Formats: sequence, C-alpha cells, structure tokens
Amino acid sequence: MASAINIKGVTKTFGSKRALDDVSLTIPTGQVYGFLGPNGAGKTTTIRCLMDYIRVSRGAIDILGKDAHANSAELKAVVGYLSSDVQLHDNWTGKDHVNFMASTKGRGRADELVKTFNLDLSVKVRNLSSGNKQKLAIILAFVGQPKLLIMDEPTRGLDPLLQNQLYELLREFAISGGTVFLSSHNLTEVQQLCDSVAVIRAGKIVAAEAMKDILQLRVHLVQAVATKAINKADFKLTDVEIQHSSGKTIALKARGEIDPIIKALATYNVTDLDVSHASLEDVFMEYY
Amino acid sequence: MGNITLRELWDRKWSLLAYCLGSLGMLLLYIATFRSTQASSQQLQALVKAYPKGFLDAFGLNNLAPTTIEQYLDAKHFSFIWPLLAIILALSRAAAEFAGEIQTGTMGLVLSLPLRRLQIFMAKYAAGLITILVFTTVSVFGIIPAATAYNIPSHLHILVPAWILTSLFMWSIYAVGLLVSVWVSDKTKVYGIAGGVIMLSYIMNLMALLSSRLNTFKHYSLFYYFDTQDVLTKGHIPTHSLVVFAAVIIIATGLAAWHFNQRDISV
Repeated sequence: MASAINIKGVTKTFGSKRALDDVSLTIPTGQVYGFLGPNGAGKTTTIRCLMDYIRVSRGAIDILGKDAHANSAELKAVVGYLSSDVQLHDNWTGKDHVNFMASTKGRGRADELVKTFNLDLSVKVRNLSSGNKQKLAIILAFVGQPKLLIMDEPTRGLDPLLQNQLYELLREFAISGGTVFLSSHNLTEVQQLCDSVAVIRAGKIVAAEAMKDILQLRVHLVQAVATKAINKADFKLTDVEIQHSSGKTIALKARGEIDPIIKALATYNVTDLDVSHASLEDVFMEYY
Repeated sequence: MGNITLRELWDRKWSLLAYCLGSLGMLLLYIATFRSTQASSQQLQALVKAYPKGFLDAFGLNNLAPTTIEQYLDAKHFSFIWPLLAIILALSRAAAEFAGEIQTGTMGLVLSLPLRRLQIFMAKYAAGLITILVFTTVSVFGIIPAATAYNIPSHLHILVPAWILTSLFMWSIYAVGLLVSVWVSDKTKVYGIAGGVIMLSYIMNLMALLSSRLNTFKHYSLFYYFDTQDVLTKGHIPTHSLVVFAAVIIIATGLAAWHFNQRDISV
C-alpha cells in the first residue's frame, strides 16, 4: 500500500528546545490514522510541519509522494486541514469563509456538508457557538477535492451526536480512498475510529502500530479471589504491578507475559479469576 | 491570489474611507481659509521674521505668505498632519496584514490555501499598496475639486510630483512596518518597533534643523527626504529623495518577503 505521509527522521528545534526528535512515521493511504500523545508531546508541531507552517530542522516529509516543503502549494490543493485551535475571522460569515477557500480550491463537498451539519452560513462567526465554529472548520477542511485530511483534535467542542456524524464522515472518506491523519486526546475516539495509531512522547515516536496490534499489546488486568488471605510478596514479580490487595482479593496489572502470575496464583485455592485485555487507555498509559 | 487582495481591501474598506474623508475634510477646511490667510500674511510674516530659520523650518512656519494653494497646504497640511495620518494608516495596514493575522490565528486559513508563501505575501502587499495609492490620490488630487469649489486655481504640474512623493513616503513607511510585521507575531510590537524607528527618524531631522552642529543627522531621516516644500512650490522632487525612498522600499520589501517565506508560523 502506498504511503500518504512519510515522515523521515524529522527533528524540529525551537532555540534550545527540541520539540521533535528524529521522528519517523509512515501513514498508509486509505486509513484513518490516529496520533496520540499528551499535551506538549509534539503532536501539533508534527502537524504544523506536515502543513509546512513550520519548517523542519532536520529530516524530510513526503506527502502523497511529494516533498511537503518544496511542493507545499501544490499539495495544499489536495490536503484538507483542521487546526486544533480553530481561528476564524469573527466579522466574516460562514459563507465568506467557504467562498474564500473555494475560490482557490473549488467547492467540493462543502454545500453537501453544510446540509449534513445543518449549519447556517449566513451568520457571522462572532455569533456562532463554539460547536458551530468547529462545524464550519470541519466543512472548510473538506472544501475542494482533498485526498488527505490532517486534523488536530477534530471533535473538540462537538456534542456526541456530531462527533458520531464526523466519525461516519471520516470513515466514508477513508473507504473512498482518502487518508485521515488525526490527533486526539480522546483514546476511546481513536480506538473506535482509527485503523492505526502512533504514540508520541516528548517529541519521540514511542509506538506506531495497527489498532488491533496495539490493543493486543501484552497488558492484562488480572483480578483474583482466593479462599485464604493473599500474600502480596508472592506477586512482586517483574513487569507486574499490584493495583489493589485486600485480604483474599488481589488486582494486578501485567505487562508482558502473564504466566508468572498464573504460577503464583496456582499456590492458592482460587475461587474467582478475571483476566482482561487492557483498554487502549491502559496500554497508552503503560508507555508514559 | 486575487481573492486575498480583494478580501483584505474589502475587510478594511471602512477605515480607508474614514482616512480618506478625514484627509479630504482637512483639505477643505484649510482651502476655505486660504484667501483670508493670504490677506493677513504680511502681519504674520512680520511677527515671525525674528525667529531662527531652523525653528521656522522645523514647524512649517517658513512660508507664511503663500502665493499658491499648494504652498499654503504644504505649510498647513502636508508638513505635519498628513504625514501623521499616512504613518498611522500605513503602519496599521502593515501590522494587521501579517502580525495581526498571526496573532489571531487567521493566518492559518490563508496558509492552508494552495499558494506559495511569496504569493500570499505579494497578495497582501498589493492590498497595502492599493490602500496607499487610494489614500494619496484622494489626499493630493482631492485638492483640485476642493480648490475649484472656492474658485482657487490648483496646478497639476505640482500635484502630480506631490502625489509621487507622498506615495513614495507612505510606501516606505509601509515597507518598514511590513518588515517588522513579518518578523513578529504581535500587532502591538509592530506599532512599538516601527513607530519607534519612525519617531527616531523624525527627531533626528528635527535636531538637524534646530542645530547646525547636528546637521548630518538629517541624512538618516526619512523626513528630510520628504521635502514637501520643494515639491509643492516648484513641482520638483529631488533625486536623492527618489533614490532613498526607492532604496528603503526595495530593501525593506525584499527582506520582508524573504523572512516571511522562510519563517515558522505557529498557527
């Protein structure tokens, strides 16, 4: 599968601060790709580099097979962008915004999406609610004929109903051959929506996996009840964290092999045992 | 590109109209007093004849017996009030077009268009330049209908060079403002830095006029080259004024375009 985005050893420094440190990432075409990380990890910096708003200090970025810096203008004709901190002209109407973008990119699906989101384009932005501003920003990202959508926290400010509408829209876009690269804080959203996910921490990519693989990373939550009091010392094992222990009950989180826990539990008469795969959030937290 | 230029002009049409009407209103006010001032000019000349020449030059009092409306307007309007209006308008445009848009984040919308940074720069620059030309055209050629209304003759061979000089002066201020505007991400910094530089330039010219020992300072001031007296009396623009304004415009614009093209814009 051809890659929609290929980030090759990108480092970005702001003075002495290293915001991105040798970041490499490949985003395949036709996927919804999630980009996770806490505040300040480098998500927005990466996205701004993709959009050529800021220039990389080292490394290179290819988008749809073309250099993102050298071919920036050409690429923006086929890239839809949604910023995390949507900033629109307060004294413009929604129609002014759409017309402004459409004058160089073509209207594309703008009118259809205005109807889908039930947005009144005649209202000035200063009079729109934050949710409606976000709707307008999403519509602007779809103006023209985008092949790639780069979205920085696209569901911020949207109510659950609209979030679901957006998820549907993004899935349709990916099914029709488009690629979505979206950053999010919302792990549930990423888990529901994305085919693959990358995790960035302190400017470095710490994981880049298919969603099914990241969910199957070996993080298990084990809860056991025995017939006699459980000795915590028996469970002080490598990569095992005792989350809770009280009398005959113990709750453990295991990273990696689960076998040492099973062997330790085998010395007890276990009456109840619950083993579950960690949620994406738990897996994610293991990286931080 | 054209949509950016048109949008810039459309968004700021009311302020341009206000500046043009303000300048035109002041012209009308001064032109209305021309005849009466001419009648009392002998008394005024006698009153200030003992003042030092530098002082008279510095405060536009060196020609209190104007024979033409252009000379009169030089003393009343173009030597102080008009440059002030022009500076404020030029700096506000320069500040709003780049630093202002970066500050509010709306630059992100422009940068997401399929245009090169230099095209965006040129589109915004064109809007600024059109604003300047509209303002100087109204300010200078507005004299013709206003003077005609009072049966006062005006002189096109003086007004055309005056329009060129005022346009070059305002364009230079705009280019300096733009150079600061593409460097910072805050409008108030443009007013502070560019305004400070222009104020310093004005003070240097003033010092050169008031003290012969500081005469060389005038060469470092844009206001020295903005010789409205020469142009509004004889219709003549000194070559050194053309050269200096052209150099300031070319250098400041070139540096601004270069920096805007390569800078990081975190929006």
